[in-house]
Amino acid sequence: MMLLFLMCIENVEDRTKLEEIYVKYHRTMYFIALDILRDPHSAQDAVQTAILKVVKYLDRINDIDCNKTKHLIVTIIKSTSIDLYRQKKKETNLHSDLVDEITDFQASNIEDLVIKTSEVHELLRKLIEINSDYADILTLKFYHDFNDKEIAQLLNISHENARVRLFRAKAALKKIIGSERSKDLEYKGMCENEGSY
Amino acid sequence: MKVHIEEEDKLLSGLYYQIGKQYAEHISKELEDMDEAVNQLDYPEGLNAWFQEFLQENEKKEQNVRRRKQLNGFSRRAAIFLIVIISGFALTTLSVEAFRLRLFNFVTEIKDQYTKIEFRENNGPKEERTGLDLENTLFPGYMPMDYTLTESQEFGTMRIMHFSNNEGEVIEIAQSPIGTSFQVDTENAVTSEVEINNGKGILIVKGNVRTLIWTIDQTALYIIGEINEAEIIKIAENVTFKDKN
Repeated sequence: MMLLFLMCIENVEDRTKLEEIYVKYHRTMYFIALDILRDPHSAQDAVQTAILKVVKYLDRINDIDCNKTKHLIVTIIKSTSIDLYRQKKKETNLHSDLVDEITDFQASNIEDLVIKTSEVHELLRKLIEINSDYADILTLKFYHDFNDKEIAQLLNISHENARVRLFRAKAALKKIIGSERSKDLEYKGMCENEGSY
Repeated sequence: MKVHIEEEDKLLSGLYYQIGKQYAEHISKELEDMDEAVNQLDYPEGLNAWFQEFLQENEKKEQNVRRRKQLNGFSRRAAIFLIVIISGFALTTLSVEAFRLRLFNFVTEIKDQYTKIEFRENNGPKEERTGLDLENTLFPGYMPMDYTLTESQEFGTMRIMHFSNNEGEVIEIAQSPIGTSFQVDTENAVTSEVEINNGKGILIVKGNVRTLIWTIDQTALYIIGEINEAEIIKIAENVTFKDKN
């Protein structure tokens, strides 16, 4: 832990920002860490490590209370806690990320991928059902605008793992879109058939 | 295949963004839902204490860095070339461009951006000395309240000690054997002669920063810091030497 003390917050504004973040999220962070680690001491370690990680992303945080910041804080404490859990249990398969079943992705027809904004919510729900990590990584990449290397650091995974997870997240989403389109076509076909009777 | 995927990515980038945006909203909603449970949780006080300590540590570091930069800048911009010789010399105060202090016999040439001071022996050329060592290390017998030793460095024959207080203010004390030189800014500074334990020293004041240069036997010393004149003289008068070993 002492090594982490070497990190330096460069100015008063950043220190104030970090303090505001801590005041707003410290309980939530501890709650999430405790939920994952099931041990108060480990949860404390996770919160400390996560706070120190937050320092690195202070320049990306403009509004302490916005959804973007909430997602970032939750992602940091979750990934930190999971990493700590892995270290303590020496388990490597807590996440099913690299052994999941989505390997049969085939490129879809572009026309099939055009969707309406109103459908996004349903797509997201299904994506979370498959694996919420996919939603996380898409959010980090396309909403927060992190690059693959930054995502890897934030999630405590290798650069290659980040790249693979991102690929799989996109593939999963396209697959969902594809299946939604199939249903639409089936439904449309049924309606047309009904009309012909 | 690769081109196809890239095209898809471009086409879907708006969707990915919307997915991210809605997922962040989803997380925000989840946090709201867990609010009650979070507030009921016993939060370890140790974490609050740790965080406060962490902030204070960073504040100190920031102040130290700022002071160091200030002092370094002070040192860089100009120079006093200090070549120290033995005491008992003649003194003649010269013009605005130059003056001499009798005890050390150092000649100060005030230039646009720096002051060059040479310590010379009477009746002879500047002595060239090599292989000087610092058998004894300086020991400040007095230091203003709250200042503690935070860093000690050696550059060649020069030894520099940094003392810091809780506010991150730094006092730098350096010792160097006769014959070496070190630099201090004197641009737009006020320079005067002061008495240190019945000896003479040069006090350079620039803004809030004071630099005091004096000698003890075969050792030249300086102190730099944002401290008042009485304090800087008191520190100098209480400097002693201890065997390095």
